[in-house]
Amino acid sequence: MLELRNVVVRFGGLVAVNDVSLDVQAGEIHALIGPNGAGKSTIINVVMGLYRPTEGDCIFQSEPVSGQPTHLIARRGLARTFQNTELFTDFTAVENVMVGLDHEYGYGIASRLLGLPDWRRKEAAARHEALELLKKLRIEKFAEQKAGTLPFGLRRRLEIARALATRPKLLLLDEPAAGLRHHEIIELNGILEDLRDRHGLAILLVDHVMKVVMAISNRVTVLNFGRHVATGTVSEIKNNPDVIAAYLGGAAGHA
Amino acid sequence: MWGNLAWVLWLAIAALAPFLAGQYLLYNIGIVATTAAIVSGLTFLSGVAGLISIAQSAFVAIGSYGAVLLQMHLGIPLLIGIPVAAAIAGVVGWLLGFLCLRLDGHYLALVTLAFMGIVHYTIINLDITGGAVGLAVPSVTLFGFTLDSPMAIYVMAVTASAITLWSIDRLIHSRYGRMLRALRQSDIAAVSLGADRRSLRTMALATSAVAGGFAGGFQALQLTYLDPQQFTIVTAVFYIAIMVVGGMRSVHGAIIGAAIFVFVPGFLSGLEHYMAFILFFFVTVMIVVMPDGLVSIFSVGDRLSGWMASRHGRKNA
Repeated sequence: MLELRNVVVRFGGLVAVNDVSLDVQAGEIHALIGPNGAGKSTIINVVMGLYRPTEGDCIFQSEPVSGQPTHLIARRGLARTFQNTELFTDFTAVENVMVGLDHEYGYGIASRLLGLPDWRRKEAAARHEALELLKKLRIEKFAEQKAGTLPFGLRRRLEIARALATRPKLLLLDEPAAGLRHHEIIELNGILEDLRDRHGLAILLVDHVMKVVMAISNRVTVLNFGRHVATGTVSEIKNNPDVIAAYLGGAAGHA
Repeated sequence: MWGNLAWVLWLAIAALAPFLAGQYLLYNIGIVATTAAIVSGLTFLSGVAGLISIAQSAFVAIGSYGAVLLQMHLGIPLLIGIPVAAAIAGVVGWLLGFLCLRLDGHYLALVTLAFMGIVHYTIINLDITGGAVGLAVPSVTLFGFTLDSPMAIYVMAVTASAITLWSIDRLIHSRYGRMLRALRQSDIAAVSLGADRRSLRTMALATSAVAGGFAGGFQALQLTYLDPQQFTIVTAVFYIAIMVVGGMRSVHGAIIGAAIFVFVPGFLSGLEHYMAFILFFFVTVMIVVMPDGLVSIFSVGDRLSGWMASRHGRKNA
């Protein structure tokens, strides 16, 4: 579904991603792990077209995405969340999600100026679908609350709801579990598994939190200093000596 | 809810003024209306989309000179010429946005500043615009009647302003307004959700130009004379100041700001020489004390309940 072929990203002399290949298949949760600075977030930014790979290709559904503007990549079925959350803080939760639905429920300027039924119907439909998405993430209670006032864990979930609004085929999650409490992580795992199993979504999951990665991933790719270390199932990764040396260390046994 | 109440208030003032106000006051109320309509374009561009333009006077100039020239040289009646000139202003605004590849804050501010200068010097140096002397605005004729009485001009100007302000208000509360506000808050999140930043921002600039051109054309009827000194960087900055003082998130702010900038100099006419100083001192104070503009006085209730809620929340946490 999503394929990175020998992607290299250089910022001046710094090599952030060095010859990484990766494929995310339809219907899987594919985790991307590695220590800080391993190039994980950079890969999400490359896929979404914020950075252009210095070398290599990024292919989504057998068509290249590199070099396209971000909004067109998004419309092709890729959606993301952000490491430090990038919500529209002045908007209510439901308005945040409606931004993601804008393309789906478009109406012309004239239709708004003249108050035509088209405008009324589409705004109502967008709001309705936004509320459904909030329900799916179990945050419908906070629909009319300003996003900026929500606690951290709910903000992360709101970002996922908003990303789903664009009806993506592949969801890119940048550290969705960072800073969450234990029960929130359990709940997040349930939501992500549900998205995969019931909605057929593929997920590329960047995270440090082993309680998420090891519990729900179908496959795991390990990066270290921008280089690919290993790809495999959770148990293969846990027992891979290179991975243990590079990253997991003694913690692997406890994860 | 405040929005609807405010609309009732403005429409009541506009409708009652011809019966209650003297000629001088009526004229000034008309000027407030057209000025507010011009500024509402900026409200959409700056307050909603977060972009700064120092060219609103240039679009006002295109609207007013355009309509007058269309009438003088092609015989197009003013009431048709003004919308046509406003459309031309919109196309120019769209082109400016389209050519200015990086529609980000500082770049757009500088490009519009340069554009403002170009328009001003073009007007001064062309023969067709009357050069530095300017042009007299002909009277509007409709079905053989000449509409040049103060009352007729008031009715036309206020109607056009109301249409402009109402349209901008609707656009702010539409998916376009929502997308532009989203881009302003987090541009990276909005584009990742499929927002076409460039076309949305170009559309915002074109919209503000249409509002400026259209309301500017009707303001020309009120002023009856086009003097190039009305279309300078200074007037463009005044429009920004009006928006900031009144409040830049809604058209009601534009109306309140315009009223202050039209009426306060009248009250302080003895201090003419210090007027710019007084007004911009006021702007600075407003930015510090009331960053959301005078219009935010009306949402004191909301803020109070928000404050109570946050205190309540803290107690429970």
